[in-house]
Amino acid sequence: MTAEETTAHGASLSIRRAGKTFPGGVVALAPTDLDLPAGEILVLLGPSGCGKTTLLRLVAGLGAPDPGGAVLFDGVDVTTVPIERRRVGMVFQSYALFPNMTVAENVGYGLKVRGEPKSSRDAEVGRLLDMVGLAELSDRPVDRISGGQRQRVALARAIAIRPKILLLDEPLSALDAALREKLRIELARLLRRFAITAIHVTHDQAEAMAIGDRIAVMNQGRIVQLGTPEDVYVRPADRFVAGFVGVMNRLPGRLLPGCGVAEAFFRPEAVAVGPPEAGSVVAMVTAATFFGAYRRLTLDVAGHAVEAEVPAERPVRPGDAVSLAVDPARLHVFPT
Amino acid sequence: MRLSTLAAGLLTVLVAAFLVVPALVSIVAGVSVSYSRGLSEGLTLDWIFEVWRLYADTILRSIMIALATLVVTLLIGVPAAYALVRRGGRLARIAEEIVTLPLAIPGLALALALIITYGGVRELRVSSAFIVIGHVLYTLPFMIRSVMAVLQSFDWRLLDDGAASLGASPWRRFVDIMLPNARPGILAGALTVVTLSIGEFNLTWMLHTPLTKTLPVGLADSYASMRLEIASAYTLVFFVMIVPLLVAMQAVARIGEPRRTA
Amino acid sequence: MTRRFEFLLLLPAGVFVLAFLLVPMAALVPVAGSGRLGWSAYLAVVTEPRYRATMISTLVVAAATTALTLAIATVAAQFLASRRFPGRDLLVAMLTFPLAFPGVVVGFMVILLSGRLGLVAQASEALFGERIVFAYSLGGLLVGYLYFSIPRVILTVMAAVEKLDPALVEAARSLGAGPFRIQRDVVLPALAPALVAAGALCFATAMGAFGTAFTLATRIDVLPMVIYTEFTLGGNVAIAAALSIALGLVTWLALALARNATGAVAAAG
Repeated sequence: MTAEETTAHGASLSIRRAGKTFPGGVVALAPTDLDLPAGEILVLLGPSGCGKTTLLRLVAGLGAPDPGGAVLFDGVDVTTVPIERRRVGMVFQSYALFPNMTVAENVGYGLKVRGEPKSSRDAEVGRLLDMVGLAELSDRPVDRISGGQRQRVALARAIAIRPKILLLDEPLSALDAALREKLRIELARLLRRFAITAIHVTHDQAEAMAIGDRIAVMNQGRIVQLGTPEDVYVRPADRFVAGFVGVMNRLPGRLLPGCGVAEAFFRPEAVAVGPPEAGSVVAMVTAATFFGAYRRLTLDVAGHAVEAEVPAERPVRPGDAVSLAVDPARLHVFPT
Repeated sequence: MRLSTLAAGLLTVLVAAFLVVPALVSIVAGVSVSYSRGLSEGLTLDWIFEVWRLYADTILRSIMIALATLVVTLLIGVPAAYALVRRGGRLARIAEEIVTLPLAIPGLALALALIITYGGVRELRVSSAFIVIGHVLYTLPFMIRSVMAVLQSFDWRLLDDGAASLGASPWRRFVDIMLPNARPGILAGALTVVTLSIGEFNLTWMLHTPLTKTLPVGLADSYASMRLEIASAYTLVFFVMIVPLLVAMQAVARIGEPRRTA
Repeated sequence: MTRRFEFLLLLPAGVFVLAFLLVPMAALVPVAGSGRLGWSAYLAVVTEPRYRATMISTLVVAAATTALTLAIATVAAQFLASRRFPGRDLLVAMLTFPLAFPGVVVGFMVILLSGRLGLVAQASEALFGERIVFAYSLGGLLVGYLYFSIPRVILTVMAAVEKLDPALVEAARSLGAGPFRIQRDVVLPALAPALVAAGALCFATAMGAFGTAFTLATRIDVLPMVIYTEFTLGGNVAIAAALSIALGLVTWLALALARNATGAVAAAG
């Protein structure tokens, strides 16, 4: 890896009060502010319809924000610049590879459009295809390669134009689960190596954790929490984030000591399970699944299901009565 | 086999015979020394040569008109089809409806309207361009629909966005991405346009002048005034021109079917 | 930006259609009112007995063509779609190859079939000692229109039959329905949209067809022939224009009704 590849490139991004209202009055995105330093990878995470793709398209230039909103690259307002002059690399959900071109022609198209001479273009395409491990497929038509390979062609094509910002719109969602998991790690590695400003949209929280420097969790057209993966996992900002990211138990506060009328959220690993004793919260084991390193229990607490983890060697069986305690440092209480 | 199936099969074969037998008679008559005395008199190519001597100009003119019609429909029809698909919505549907109007209006009425409006422009009235105008009117809807259908068969907007994100201007996207991927539709449209133009009679009969006769006009003329062998030989020439176009059309339709976007 | 691009793409076709379709069609309207009959020329197709008779016979021939073609095509398309047998492709090719024949050629086919030297005349002379000739009458015209329409309609109906779910017929059969019941209760309702679309197309084409009638004889009184003779022989531009508009309205109406009924796109030649 050369020095040039490791230094961060790409532009910083600022979004100022950018919202999007669709004809008919549906607010897809409330006016949003967001700052992304150069070289950072931000993941927009949220359920479908939360506004993450809308926000991505505003950055791309595939849609204009409502009046008053602005998008700035390196401090320069690009709000009215069409996508073809914004220099954003875009990886589409279904890749948008051109069926009339080979793998190499797809990757080189952006450079060709920019009038780059064929020799330097071919060299750059070769370098990128090497990088994504597709050098031997360069002359294949794109409908004769696998889904995972297409995904990497789309990535190489977007990177080839040395974009100011790389935008990835659910790039793994068209793949089956096993391949998705493998490529998630691969993609995280490649993005780190490109060291480029990137926004990655997904609804998959595991993908978000693996790829993002920071994660913006979105719900109903708003960013509800912006922070590192640890922040979002350990310190969820609200009930929605707590429920959306990772496995989370929720119990009415009255069932746990000291929680009052609020609702209590906690992760399976924050639960301590012991023998039943007076004065503690008592639960009934309804299911116990062996996971090798640990045993995942489903407990019944006054009619509420709670997931807990115990060491694999603890012989807990369905039907056992246990006591349950939650580490107060890892307990999140949100008013109902 | 059921009786009803047998009857259906018999009807199908009879209908096929109804369609094919006259064409075969015409082909045989075109190369027979004498139609009325039958094949015993022998075969000859004399009638074909006679047709060439009498009507070569109509055959060549029809080819030229068909090619000119094709060029115009490609130049104005393909961009229009892309614009209509891009634009979408009610306005595009109305525009499509208007362009398609010549398919619903009898050729005779269209020709009459053209003559009333432009018949006074002498240079136009006496030139083959007048016929080309009529043929473009009549064939343009086929080109536009064929191209629109193929554009709608893949996710053109996704490919358009993809090319735009790589820095291609709208025109560049049209040329680099839309035209190559719409090729099956353009090809199918082109074959339809040429086939229809070569056979067009309703408009052409009204629009032609003695100096701008086309093949079908010549055919009508030969049916009215020539002996049966010459009329048949002329028809045979027409078949020879039109059948390869039809075969190509069906081949293109078969290739065009299994398409998908990558 | 993108609006301007779309406008420029559409501009050449728009100018062409405006200049050579919309303006001429609009010009036809006042011309029709400029003749001896004035604006009542528009009513001539109803009020003048000669034109009225022509309109009626044109409608009858077109309707008969449509009904017969649909019946034949429905039977043949089902026969061809439901089974594979040697020679099937040849049979399909035979049924569809006259697709691109212009009306004049179709007229010539009718003459070869049923004209004075035609096959029917020769056969009937050999069998009954009498030459049967019907090419130059409305009967000959009907035969010509069938020749013209069958290939087009068969293609449409075959495509519709191939999309038909064979389980429907099998289910009806398992319930004990006979072949005619299956046709009436299952197959025809499923094919109805295709039949309506193809039938409207067939009807509109038969209404406006000119080449076949022209080749067979100038004596056959169908609307396109009358328009032609009024214009070229009678020099009666106004009546020709009025009749053209009436004819155009009928064909356009037939197609519009069919499209409303099926949502499909239909077109006439």
